[in-house]
Amino acid sequence: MATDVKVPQDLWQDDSMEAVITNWLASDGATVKKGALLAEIMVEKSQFEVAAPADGVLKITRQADAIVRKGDVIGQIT
Amino acid sequence: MSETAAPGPVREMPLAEALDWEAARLADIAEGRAAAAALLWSCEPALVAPKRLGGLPGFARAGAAAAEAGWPVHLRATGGDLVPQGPGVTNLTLLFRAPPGPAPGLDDAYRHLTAPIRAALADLGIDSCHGSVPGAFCDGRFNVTVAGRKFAGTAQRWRPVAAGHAVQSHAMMLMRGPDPDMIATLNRFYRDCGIDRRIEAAAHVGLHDLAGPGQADAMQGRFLAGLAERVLPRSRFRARRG
Repeated sequence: MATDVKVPQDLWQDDSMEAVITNWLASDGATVKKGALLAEIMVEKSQFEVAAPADGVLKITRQADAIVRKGDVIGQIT
Repeated sequence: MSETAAPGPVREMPLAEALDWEAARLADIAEGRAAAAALLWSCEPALVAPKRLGGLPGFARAGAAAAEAGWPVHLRATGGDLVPQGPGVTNLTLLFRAPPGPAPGLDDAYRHLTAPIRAALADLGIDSCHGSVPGAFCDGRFNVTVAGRKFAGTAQRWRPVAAGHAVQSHAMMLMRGPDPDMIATLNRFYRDCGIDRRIEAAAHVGLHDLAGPGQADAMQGRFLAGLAERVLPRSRFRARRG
Protein backbone atom coordinates (compact mmCIF):
# COMPACT_ATOMS: atom_id res chain seq x y z
CA MET A 1 0.00 0.00 0.00
CA ALA A 2 1.33 3.45 -0.87
CA THR A 3 1.67 6.22 1.72
CA ASP A 4 1.37 9.75 0.41
CA VAL A 5 4.11 12.28 1.14
CA LYS A 6 2.16 15.47 1.72
CA VAL A 7 2.81 19.10 2.39
CA PRO A 8 1.67 19.19 6.04
CA GLN A 9 -1.61 20.92 6.84
CA ASP A 10 -0.37 22.71 9.94
CA LEU A 11 2.69 24.57 8.74
CA TRP A 12 1.03 27.88 8.04
CA GLN A 13 -2.37 29.40 8.58
CA ASP A 14 -3.32 30.99 5.27
CA ASP A 15 -4.98 28.33 3.07
CA SER A 16 -4.32 30.33 -0.10
CA MET A 17 -0.59 30.66 0.49
CA GLU A 18 1.61 28.91 -2.06
CA ALA A 19 4.99 27.35 -1.38
CA VAL A 20 7.73 26.03 -3.62
CA ILE A 21 9.58 22.72 -3.38
CA THR A 22 13.13 24.00 -3.14
CA ASN A 23 14.96 20.72 -2.82
CA TRP A 24 14.49 16.97 -2.78
CA LEU A 25 17.02 15.47 -0.36
CA ALA A 26 16.17 11.89 -1.31
CA SER A 27 16.21 10.57 -4.86
CA ASP A 28 13.34 9.09 -6.80
CA GLY A 29 13.46 5.34 -6.17
CA ALA A 30 15.50 5.65 -2.97
CA THR A 31 14.72 3.49 0.04
CA VAL A 32 13.85 5.77 2.94
CA LYS A 33 13.15 5.36 6.65
CA LYS A 34 10.18 6.88 8.47
CA GLY A 35 11.18 10.29 9.83
CA ALA A 36 14.03 10.82 7.38
CA LEU A 37 14.29 14.27 5.83
CA LEU A 38 12.93 14.01 2.27
CA ALA A 39 12.36 17.49 0.93
CA GLU A 40 12.40 21.18 1.71
CA ILE A 41 9.65 23.59 0.82
CA MET A 42 9.77 27.36 1.16
CA VAL A 43 7.09 29.91 1.85
CA GLU A 44 7.50 33.46 3.16
CA LYS A 45 11.29 33.04 3.39
CA SER A 46 10.75 30.07 5.69
CA GLN A 47 12.22 26.69 4.88
CA PHE A 48 10.13 23.70 6.01
CA GLU A 49 11.48 20.20 6.20
CA VAL A 50 9.22 17.36 5.00
CA ALA A 51 9.89 14.01 6.64
CA ALA A 52 9.11 10.50 5.40
CA PRO A 53 5.77 9.30 6.80
CA ALA A 54 6.71 5.61 6.39
CA ASP A 55 9.51 3.20 5.52
CA GLY A 56 9.74 2.22 1.87
CA VAL A 57 10.70 3.27 -1.62
CA LEU A 58 10.15 6.90 -2.56
CA LYS A 59 8.40 7.96 -5.75
CA ILE A 60 8.62 11.68 -6.38
CA THR A 61 5.46 13.05 -7.99
CA ARG A 62 6.16 16.79 -7.78
CA GLN A 63 9.60 17.96 -8.80
CA ALA A 64 11.77 20.71 -7.31
CA ASP A 65 10.50 24.21 -8.16
CA ALA A 66 6.88 22.97 -8.25
CA ILE A 67 4.36 25.26 -6.58
CA VAL A 68 2.41 23.53 -3.83
CA ARG A 69 -0.19 24.24 -1.16
CA LYS A 70 -1.01 22.78 2.22
CA GLY A 71 -2.01 19.13 1.92
CA ASP A 72 -0.70 18.62 -1.61
CA VAL A 73 0.75 15.19 -2.37
CA ILE A 74 4.37 15.54 -3.52
CA GLY A 75 5.42 11.90 -3.47
CA GLN A 76 4.53 8.37 -2.47
CA ILE A 77 6.26 5.69 -0.43
CA THR A 78 5.56 2.04 -1.26
CA MET B 1 33.67 26.36 19.26
CA SER B 2 35.76 29.41 19.98
CA GLU B 3 34.34 32.41 21.74
CA THR B 4 35.96 35.81 21.71
CA ALA B 5 36.29 37.92 24.82
CA ALA B 6 35.05 41.00 23.00
CA PRO B 7 33.00 43.25 25.27
CA GLY B 8 29.29 43.56 24.69
CA PRO B 9 26.63 41.04 23.89
CA VAL B 10 27.62 40.24 20.30
CA ARG B 11 29.78 37.21 19.70
CA GLU B 12 32.27 37.76 16.89
CA MET B 13 32.87 34.45 15.18
CA PRO B 14 33.67 32.99 11.76
CA LEU B 15 30.55 32.69 9.61
CA ALA B 16 31.03 28.95 9.14
CA GLU B 17 31.14 28.54 12.90
CA ALA B 18 27.95 30.55 13.34
CA LEU B 19 26.13 28.41 10.78
CA ASP B 20 27.40 25.26 12.51
CA TRP B 21 26.21 26.64 15.87
CA GLU B 22 22.73 27.22 14.43
CA ALA B 23 22.56 23.72 12.96
CA ALA B 24 23.74 22.12 16.21
CA ARG B 25 21.25 24.04 18.36
CA LEU B 26 18.38 23.21 15.97
CA ALA B 27 19.31 19.54 16.32
CA ASP B 28 19.47 19.94 20.12
CA ILE B 29 15.95 21.33 20.17
CA ALA B 30 14.59 18.78 17.69
CA GLU B 31 16.05 15.94 19.74
CA GLY B 32 14.93 17.32 23.10
CA ARG B 33 18.35 18.25 24.49
CA ALA B 34 17.43 21.94 24.78
CA ALA B 35 14.23 23.96 24.90
CA ALA B 36 15.51 27.18 23.37
CA ALA B 37 18.68 29.01 22.37
CA ALA B 38 19.62 32.53 21.32
CA LEU B 39 22.71 34.19 19.92
CA LEU B 40 23.74 37.65 18.82
CA TRP B 41 26.64 37.33 16.42
CA SER B 42 28.72 39.05 13.79
CA CYS B 43 31.22 37.68 11.30
CA GLU B 44 33.67 38.48 8.52
CA PRO B 45 32.55 39.87 5.12
CA ALA B 46 30.76 37.19 3.11
CA LEU B 47 27.63 36.51 1.13
CA VAL B 48 25.17 33.96 2.49
CA ALA B 49 22.78 32.21 0.13
CA PRO B 50 20.00 29.72 0.79
CA LYS B 51 20.89 26.21 -0.33
CA ARG B 52 18.47 26.30 -3.25
CA LEU B 53 20.61 28.94 -5.01
CA GLY B 54 23.52 26.50 -4.91
CA GLY B 55 21.80 24.47 -7.61
CA LEU B 56 21.68 27.26 -10.19
CA PRO B 57 23.86 26.72 -13.27
CA GLY B 58 25.69 30.02 -12.80
CA PHE B 59 26.24 29.61 -9.06
CA ALA B 60 29.84 28.37 -9.23
CA ARG B 61 30.90 31.21 -11.51
CA ALA B 62 29.01 33.78 -9.43
CA GLY B 63 30.54 32.42 -6.25
CA ALA B 64 34.05 32.52 -7.66
CA ALA B 65 33.65 36.13 -8.79
CA ALA B 66 32.24 37.18 -5.41
CA ALA B 67 35.06 35.43 -3.56
CA GLU B 68 37.63 37.15 -5.76
CA ALA B 69 36.03 40.47 -4.84
CA GLY B 70 36.43 39.64 -1.14
CA TRP B 71 32.95 38.20 -0.54
CA PRO B 72 33.16 34.40 -0.25
CA VAL B 73 29.78 32.70 -0.52
CA HIS B 74 28.36 30.37 2.13
CA LEU B 75 25.12 28.38 2.02
CA ARG B 76 22.63 28.48 4.88
CA ALA B 77 19.70 26.35 6.02
CA THR B 78 17.00 29.01 6.35
CA GLY B 79 14.88 30.27 3.49
CA GLY B 80 15.06 33.63 1.80
CA ASP B 81 17.62 34.99 -0.59
CA LEU B 82 21.18 36.25 -0.86
CA VAL B 83 22.36 38.48 2.01
CA PRO B 84 25.66 40.17 2.82
CA GLN B 85 27.47 39.69 6.11
CA GLY B 86 30.31 41.61 7.68
CA PRO B 87 31.28 43.96 10.50
CA GLY B 88 28.38 46.30 9.69
CA VAL B 89 25.83 43.54 10.24
CA THR B 90 24.67 42.04 13.53
CA ASN B 91 22.67 38.82 13.49
CA LEU B 92 20.09 37.51 15.92
CA THR B 93 19.32 33.80 15.91
CA LEU B 94 16.47 32.46 18.04
CA LEU B 95 15.67 28.75 18.28
CA PHE B 96 12.72 27.21 20.09
CA ARG B 97 10.17 24.44 19.95
CA ALA B 98 6.73 25.22 18.55
CA PRO B 99 3.79 23.08 19.64
CA PRO B 100 1.76 21.17 17.02
CA GLY B 101 -1.15 22.83 15.27
CA PRO B 102 -1.63 25.89 13.16
CA ALA B 103 -0.70 28.33 15.94
CA PRO B 104 1.90 29.56 16.51
CA GLY B 105 2.59 29.71 12.80
CA LEU B 106 4.89 31.54 10.50
CA ASP B 107 3.65 35.02 11.33
CA ASP B 108 3.84 34.38 15.06
CA ALA B 109 7.41 33.12 14.78
CA TYR B 110 8.39 36.20 12.77
CA ARG B 111 6.79 38.49 15.35
CA HIS B 112 8.56 36.58 18.13
CA LEU B 113 11.81 37.39 16.33
CA THR B 114 11.13 41.00 15.41
CA ALA B 115 9.39 42.15 18.61
CA PRO B 116 12.61 42.51 20.64
CA ILE B 117 14.32 44.23 17.72
CA ARG B 118 11.52 46.73 17.37
CA ALA B 119 11.37 47.27 21.12
CA ALA B 120 15.10 47.98 21.26
CA LEU B 121 14.67 50.48 18.41
CA ALA B 122 11.74 52.07 20.23
CA ASP B 123 13.97 52.54 23.29
CA LEU B 124 16.04 54.84 21.09
CA GLY B 125 12.97 56.71 19.86
CA ILE B 126 12.99 54.97 16.47
CA ASP B 127 9.64 53.90 15.04
CA SER B 128 9.67 50.72 12.96
CA CYS B 129 7.23 48.43 11.24
CA HIS B 130 7.09 45.27 9.09
CA GLY B 131 7.00 45.42 5.35
CA SER B 132 8.43 44.61 1.97
CA VAL B 133 10.90 47.10 0.47
CA PRO B 134 11.40 47.00 -3.30
CA GLY B 135 15.10 47.01 -4.15
CA ALA B 136 16.16 45.55 -0.80
CA PHE B 137 18.21 42.39 -0.66
CA CYS B 138 16.36 39.28 0.55
CA ASP B 139 13.11 41.21 0.58
CA GLY B 140 10.14 39.91 2.53
CA ARG B 141 6.95 40.82 4.34
CA PHE B 142 8.64 40.58 7.72
CA ASN B 143 11.50 42.94 7.12
CA VAL B 144 11.88 45.41 9.96
CA THR B 145 11.70 48.78 8.27
CA VAL B 146 12.44 52.31 9.42
CA ALA B 147 11.01 55.19 7.38
CA GLY B 148 10.24 52.76 4.56
CA ARG B 149 13.79 51.41 4.33
CA LYS B 150 15.00 47.97 5.32
CA PHE B 151 16.79 47.78 8.65
CA ALA B 152 16.54 44.01 9.24
CA GLY B 153 15.78 40.95 7.15
CA THR B 154 14.34 37.76 8.54
CA ALA B 155 14.08 34.06 7.66
CA GLN B 156 13.17 30.78 9.32
CA ARG B 157 13.65 27.03 9.21
CA TRP B 158 11.08 24.56 10.59
CA ARG B 159 11.90 20.94 11.37
CA PRO B 160 9.12 18.48 12.25
CA VAL B 161 9.57 16.63 15.54
CA ALA B 162 7.35 14.17 17.43
CA ALA B 163 5.33 16.93 19.08
CA GLY B 164 5.40 20.04 16.95
CA HIS B 165 8.39 21.67 15.30
CA ALA B 166 11.87 22.84 16.11
CA VAL B 167 12.13 26.38 14.77
CA GLN B 168 15.18 28.42 13.82
CA SER B 169 14.56 32.09 13.15
CA HIS B 170 17.16 34.57 12.06
CA ALA B 171 17.39 38.32 11.61
CA MET B 172 20.26 40.21 10.05
CA MET B 173 20.32 43.81 11.20
CA LEU B 174 22.17 46.63 9.51
CA MET B 175 24.35 48.58 11.91
CA ARG B 176 25.72 50.40 8.86
CA GLY B 177 23.99 50.81 5.52
CA PRO B 178 25.40 48.76 2.65
CA ASP B 179 28.43 50.27 0.93
CA PRO B 180 28.73 50.51 -2.87
CA ASP B 181 31.14 47.57 -3.06
CA MET B 182 28.66 45.34 -1.26
CA ILE B 183 25.80 46.37 -3.54
CA ALA B 184 27.89 45.92 -6.68
CA THR B 185 28.88 42.43 -5.52
CA LEU B 186 25.28 41.43 -4.86
CA ASN B 187 24.13 42.68 -8.24
CA ARG B 188 26.98 40.99 -10.04
CA PHE B 189 26.17 37.74 -8.25
CA TYR B 190 22.57 37.86 -9.47
CA ARG B 191 23.69 38.72 -12.98
CA ASP B 192 26.16 35.82 -13.04
CA CYS B 193 23.40 33.48 -11.82
CA GLY B 194 21.04 34.71 -14.54
CA ILE B 195 18.62 36.18 -12.00
CA ASP B 196 16.83 39.36 -13.03
CA ARG B 197 17.07 41.29 -9.74
CA ARG B 198 18.65 44.61 -8.84
CA ILE B 199 19.52 45.69 -5.32
CA GLU B 200 19.47 49.39 -4.48
CA ALA B 201 21.54 50.86 -1.64
CA ALA B 202 18.84 53.46 -0.94
CA ALA B 203 16.36 50.74 -0.01
CA HIS B 204 18.30 50.09 3.20
CA VAL B 205 19.06 51.97 6.37
CA GLY B 206 21.73 51.28 8.95
CA LEU B 207 21.45 52.21 12.60
CA HIS B 208 24.35 54.63 12.15
CA ASP B 209 22.32 56.50 9.51
CA LEU B 210 19.74 57.24 12.19
CA ALA B 211 22.17 58.65 14.74
CA GLY B 212 23.06 62.25 15.32
CA PRO B 213 26.60 63.50 14.68
CA GLY B 214 29.10 61.64 16.84
CA GLN B 215 26.38 59.45 18.33
CA ALA B 216 26.51 56.36 16.09
CA ASP B 217 28.68 54.10 18.22
CA ALA B 218 26.84 55.00 21.42
CA MET B 219 23.49 54.41 19.74
CA GLN B 220 24.63 51.02 18.44
CA GLY B 221 25.81 50.09 21.93
CA ARG B 222 22.48 51.04 23.49
CA PHE B 223 20.52 49.21 20.81
CA LEU B 224 22.51 45.99 21.20
CA ALA B 225 22.38 46.15 24.99
CA GLY B 226 18.61 46.65 24.87
CA LEU B 227 18.22 43.78 22.44
CA ALA B 228 20.46 41.48 24.47
CA GLU B 229 18.50 42.20 27.63
CA ARG B 230 15.41 40.95 25.82
CA VAL B 231 16.74 37.86 24.05
CA LEU B 232 19.84 36.52 25.77
CA PRO B 233 19.86 34.55 29.03
CA ARG B 234 20.64 37.13 31.68
CA SER B 235 23.59 35.28 33.16
CA ARG B 236 25.30 35.08 29.78
CA PHE B 237 24.72 38.72 28.97
CA ARG B 238 26.02 39.84 32.36
CA ALA B 239 29.14 37.74 31.85
CA ARG B 240 29.76 39.34 28.48
CA ARG B 241 29.23 42.84 29.81
CA GLY B 242 31.70 42.17 32.59
